[in-house]
Amino acid sequence: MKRKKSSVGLITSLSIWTTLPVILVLLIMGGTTLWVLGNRVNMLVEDNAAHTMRMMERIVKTEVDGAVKNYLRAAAEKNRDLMSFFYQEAQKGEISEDAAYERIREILLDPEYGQVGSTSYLAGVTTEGILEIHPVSPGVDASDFEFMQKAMEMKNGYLEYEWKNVGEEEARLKAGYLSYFEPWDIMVWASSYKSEFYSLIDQRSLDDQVSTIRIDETGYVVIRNSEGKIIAGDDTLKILNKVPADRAAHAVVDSKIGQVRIDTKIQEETGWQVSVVSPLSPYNRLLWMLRIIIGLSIVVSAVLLHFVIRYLLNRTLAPLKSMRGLAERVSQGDLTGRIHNLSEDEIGEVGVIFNHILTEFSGVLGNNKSVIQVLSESIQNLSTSAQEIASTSNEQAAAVKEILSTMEDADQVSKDNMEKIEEVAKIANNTKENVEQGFELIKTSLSKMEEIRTTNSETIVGIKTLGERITSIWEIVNIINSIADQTKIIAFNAELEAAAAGDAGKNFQIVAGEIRRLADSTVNSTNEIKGKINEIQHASDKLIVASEEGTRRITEGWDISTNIRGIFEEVLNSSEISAHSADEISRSTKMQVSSFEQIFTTLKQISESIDSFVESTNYTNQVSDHLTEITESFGKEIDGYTVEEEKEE
Amino acid sequence: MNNDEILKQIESNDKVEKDIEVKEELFYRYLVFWIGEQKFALPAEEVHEILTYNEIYFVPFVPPYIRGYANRHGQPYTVFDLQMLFENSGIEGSHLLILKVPNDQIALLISDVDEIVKVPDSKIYSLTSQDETSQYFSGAVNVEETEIFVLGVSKILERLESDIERS
Amino acid sequence: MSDRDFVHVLYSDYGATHFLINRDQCPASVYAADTVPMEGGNNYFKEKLIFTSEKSSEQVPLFNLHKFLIKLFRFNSNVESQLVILTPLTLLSEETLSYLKEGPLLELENCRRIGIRISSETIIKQIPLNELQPHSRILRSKLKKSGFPATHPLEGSMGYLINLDKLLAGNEGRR
Repeated sequence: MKRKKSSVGLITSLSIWTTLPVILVLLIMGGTTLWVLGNRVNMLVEDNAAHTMRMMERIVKTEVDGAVKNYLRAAAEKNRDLMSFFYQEAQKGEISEDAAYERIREILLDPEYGQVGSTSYLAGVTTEGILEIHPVSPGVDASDFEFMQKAMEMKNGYLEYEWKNVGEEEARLKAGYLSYFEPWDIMVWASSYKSEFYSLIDQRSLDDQVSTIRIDETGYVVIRNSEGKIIAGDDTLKILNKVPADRAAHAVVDSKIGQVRIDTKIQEETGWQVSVVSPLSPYNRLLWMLRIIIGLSIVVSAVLLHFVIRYLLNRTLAPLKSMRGLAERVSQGDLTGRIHNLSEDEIGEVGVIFNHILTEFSGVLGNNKSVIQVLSESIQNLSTSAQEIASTSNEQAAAVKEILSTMEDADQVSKDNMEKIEEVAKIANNTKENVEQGFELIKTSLSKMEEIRTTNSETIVGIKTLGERITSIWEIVNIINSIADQTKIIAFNAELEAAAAGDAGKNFQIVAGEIRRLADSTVNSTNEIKGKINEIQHASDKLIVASEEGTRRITEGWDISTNIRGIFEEVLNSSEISAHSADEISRSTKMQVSSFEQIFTTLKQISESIDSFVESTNYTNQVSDHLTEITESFGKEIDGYTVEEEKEE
Repeated sequence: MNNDEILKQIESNDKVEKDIEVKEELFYRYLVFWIGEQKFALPAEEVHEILTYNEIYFVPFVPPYIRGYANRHGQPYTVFDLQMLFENSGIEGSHLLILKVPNDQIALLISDVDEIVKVPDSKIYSLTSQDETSQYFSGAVNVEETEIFVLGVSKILERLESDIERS
Repeated sequence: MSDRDFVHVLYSDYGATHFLINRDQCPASVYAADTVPMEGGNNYFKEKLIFTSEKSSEQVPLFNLHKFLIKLFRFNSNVESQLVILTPLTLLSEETLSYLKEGPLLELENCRRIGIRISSETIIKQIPLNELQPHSRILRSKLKKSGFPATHPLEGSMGYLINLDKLLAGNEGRR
């Protein structure tokens, strides 16, 4: 269901949105850290390489200087020793001092022997700066030169100086060693251009020193000459061929141990190229490890944080979930649920309010349900009453029809009676002359009286039946009346209930009012009927009285006639029939007939009333059906809601 | 008149009626009933139900205007005969008004129910005098030019309480 | 209160009204044929029973509840009752006992029990407690004080629970 997704989505999106800034910060921190570290590593490697480079320069210089110095020192001191030897000889007296001095002078000035380096030579210089022994410019005073002043001061030792020969454009670095022989005040001076001695350098020693240098275990130093030949060190990674030998460079290249940084510098003096190979791979590895660790940490943190926040949100919003679930149930009509385990925060408050709302609403619905129940019962009663009325009125109609047919018979009978009585009267008035005939006639009249009596009894039975019917109509009318009364009371109660239900009951109220008016009109109708029945009753009573009177008189007549018959049988001549009785009979019969007419008309009226009554009961049925519909639809709506069942009383 | 004019006219009529409706006042419903030959009224919301043909069972130690108990839904209801209270002569009542009294079960014995009427606010009057005769009424309503007293149930109950305390 | 809670009562039927007396208040009953007039009693304490045994004789004053109820509720009954229930004095309250001892029981020796004459149309019944109802609130205190603490409304008959203790000591008992 879409709604479920959104609540899960809410928690997910909330936890994502709270996690994101943290991740962002972590990423920024990690990135910055890595960048700074990378930079620092680079700087470290650079510094390291530079340091090694400086060290290398010092080594080369030392080696170079050492080699030069040693050579010149050896030359100077050897020749000073020679000078000393010759002095000693002079002292011994073997030769003269002058000869000795001349000997050493020859030696020093010897072009072959006195050559130092490829272009230079030995010399002897006084502490005054005079070039006493010199192949080119003997006797010259060189004390003005700075280097000479320095030498005059030193007397022994090594010095370097710039020197431009005659005819040369540029000064070059010269190196010299002094060895002082005091007796003759001569500094033996062996000097030469430094560059001529570069080839003297003890490459092996240099190599030994250089080979041992390790940078981060796999890095190394290589010294190459200007042609690219390796003088010291070993290019184990075979990468220097990528780097030109004649200039300084910084490059990062790939090798079999990974990335390496190559720094090259050209040594000024010797023109050699010093290459420092620093492996970057350990640092790279380190940096990569750090990247991985930081990356993993960020990811793990992100995931962990996400789930922690998610869990917390779940817990906090759980009440919302249950509220949402409850709200769903309510929207589907189930009001029985309540939220339990309410927290003590705002969400819990909402839950409390929610519960309260549900309870109130359930109460209202419960009330409505009970109202509906009462309404249903009332309508049920109404229906039953209406049905009773309908069946009763049907009975009534049937009864009335029976009565009508009985009445018709009775009427017919009465009319027959009438005829017969008239005959009798005629006969009675003619008895004197027709005694025998009269006797016969009396017999005839007696038999006719017999018939009359029988018919009269039947009539009386009919009238009594009528009386019973009237009584039963009376009972029926009373029942109808009581039903109408009950209906009225039911309608009043319904109206009261509807008033209590407020707006919801407005429609029903109107209908209830209609029912009441209907009940009122029913009562009016029944009152009319009662009135009519009273009339009938009176007429019937009068009729019964008259009939009884008539019966009495008939019996009298019968008795008298029997007596007369007896008398006539005895005498055969007495033939006086009470014309008076016959007249009375005639009169009562006439009254009977007219009463019947009255009853007839009244019964017809009753029949009509009953018919219209049946109509109104049909209408009542319709109304109660309508009510049932309304109540049912109302009840269905409310039944859509489930509330807790009230305890039955 | 053409159709537009007709339409305008009837629409303005409708509006006039609506205006009138808005100015109509509130109606209240009253139940009007007979106690003996007298008519009385009660606000419809104070009456729970009307019952007929309920037997009333005698209760001892109570004033004479309490005719006894009626049994409704298995609970005893105190039945007041107000004619006995007002005039010291009882009625042969056949109907019971079950009242909505909180926390108690009270019923009135009446002769018959008349009708339920809607009375506008303007025709409802409250008490002006506080004399003996009106101490049990909360006011009166005007129905078809007749004044009908409205019973004050709480006052009647107070009377019963004080009578019982004194006895 | 579950529906299975019942109370044992004596159920006296007077037609449209009936009365319930808690069996606990009257553990024993007897057919009262030979009663003896009692002096000093009031309208309804007019007779006593005397039970004699080997060691002692016990005097039991009789309160004619049957007549009392007929008068109070204006029943149309002339039937005498022959049924008497016996209540030990220990079951009565201080107030009732002191009233009785100052009145009808004043001169009776060895009186441990009081007898109540009730309608012969009395049976023992178990009434579920949820059939009993309190009186209408406005009448409650008065009727309770007079010895009728609760009602038992039935279809066609209104019942009253009787508290013998209060009824004997109530104002009406003094008349």
